[in-house]
Amino acid sequence: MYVDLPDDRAHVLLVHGYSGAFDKVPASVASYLRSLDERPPKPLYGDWTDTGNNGDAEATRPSDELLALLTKRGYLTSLTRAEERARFDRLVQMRHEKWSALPPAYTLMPTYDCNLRCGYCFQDHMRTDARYEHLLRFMTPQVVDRIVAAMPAIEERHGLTQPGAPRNVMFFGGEPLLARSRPLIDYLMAAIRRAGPATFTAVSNGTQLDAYEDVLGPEGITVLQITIDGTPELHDTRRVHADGTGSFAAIARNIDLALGRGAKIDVRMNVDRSNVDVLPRLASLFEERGWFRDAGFSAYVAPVHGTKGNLERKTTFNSHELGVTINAMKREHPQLGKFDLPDDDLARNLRSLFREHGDALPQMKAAYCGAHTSMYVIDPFGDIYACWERTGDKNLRVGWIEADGTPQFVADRLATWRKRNVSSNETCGQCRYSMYCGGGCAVLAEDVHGTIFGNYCDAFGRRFRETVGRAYGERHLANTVDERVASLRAL
Amino acid sequence: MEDKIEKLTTEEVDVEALEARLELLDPGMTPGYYCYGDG
Repeated sequence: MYVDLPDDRAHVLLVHGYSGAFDKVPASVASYLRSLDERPPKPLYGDWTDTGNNGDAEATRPSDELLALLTKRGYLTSLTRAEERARFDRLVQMRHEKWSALPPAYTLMPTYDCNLRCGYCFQDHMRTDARYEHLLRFMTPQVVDRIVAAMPAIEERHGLTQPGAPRNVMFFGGEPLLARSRPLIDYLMAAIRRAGPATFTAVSNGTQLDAYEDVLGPEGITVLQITIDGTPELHDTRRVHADGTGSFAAIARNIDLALGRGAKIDVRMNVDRSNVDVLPRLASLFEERGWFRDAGFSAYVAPVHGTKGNLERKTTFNSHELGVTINAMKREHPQLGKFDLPDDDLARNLRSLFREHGDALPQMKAAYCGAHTSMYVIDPFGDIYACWERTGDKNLRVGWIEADGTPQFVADRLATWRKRNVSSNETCGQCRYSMYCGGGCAVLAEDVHGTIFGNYCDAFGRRFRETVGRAYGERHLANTVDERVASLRAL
Repeated sequence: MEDKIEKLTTEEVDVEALEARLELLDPGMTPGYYCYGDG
């Protein structure tokens, strides 16, 4: 991959797709490599292109010594294309197997029910279409007991036979922290803790957190992701209660309360073209409430994606468009710098990498997310899913937990999810960005291709090149996001 | 012509030794990504 440096046309950053090499070379060396490219980059695979402004320098053959170094770092090879692909597939498999051996990440859904009716929610139909009414029940203590009993057997699948690090448990819904669920959550946390140490996080709408005040904080639910979609007036048109009333005031009060308890709050803002303009005012409002001064507070923007066919493309951003739009707005509204953008995690990792001349291998992804490695999403009925975007339909479950606590798996369905990686589909297998991208979201890929074994690029190639160039220029900036917050975003 | 390379990542990068380095990689070292869930 060839990365232009914004302020230096004489050089290009070379990035190898799987060796972990990032190297700054004269533009003429990059041109030499381009001249040897058997398959000139073109917009063939998905939505990316491999253009660069600095690639027009005259190509000159480097010294033998430099050619040897470029070969060692992977840019030049004597392998055939088939041999190179076989090596790539082997490396991806090794990386995927290592990642899959990590302890399970449990996502527990106490209920599919929710007190809000947000039009863009991928689960909204469950609460508004009577055909899904059967889903709107709550997990029973008996199901909780079955889940806890099943955990050792699930962990054994990942090579864990002895109690080890604390179990990672995230509450998800529906809305997992409804006031009426408090006894259930107490029962869940107590049952899991009786079985061993555990950490608890939650994705919550934040409207009824006051019912959980005493369990928020370092000893209880440590991190909460809460969504705010704009200024109070706008938020209250998007994230509405079933009776049509808004939710901003209750959420803001509860964020104050949770921060006061020492919990970490990561605010997510689902952004499309209808609410992006209010982000500067929202950042000012967060500032006025003192949230940005609290070390436990962070906030990030995420694009709304139309996964249900009810959102028109012209109303949404892809991740690149969102980043470009907000970065442009920062010139007039510097307070937007307090919001994390989709590629800021990558930029932070790259800055560290460049500062420390570190190893890029840990940054590389064989697969996109935990749905393809070690995530178990367990719903109120004890059904197991690989991905929360595909919950609520027994025909899609990858397993279930029997009454005696034995987990049963639908072997081929689980294998389908767990084997999606960047070498198990032809598009990603030929893309030089794939090990930094992971292939994109499987659900969104399925929307496009009809199968999860496809790519969902989300303009990654362009985002990657721009982020690498920017991170190199800003490599001396410090990183600030808390690791536990980053890990919640990464589930 | 300027003929040099500035390595921005570890000196240890050697495409022929990748499999050995991956074997040694701490499995806990995994990259982040973000979920698109619009819930």
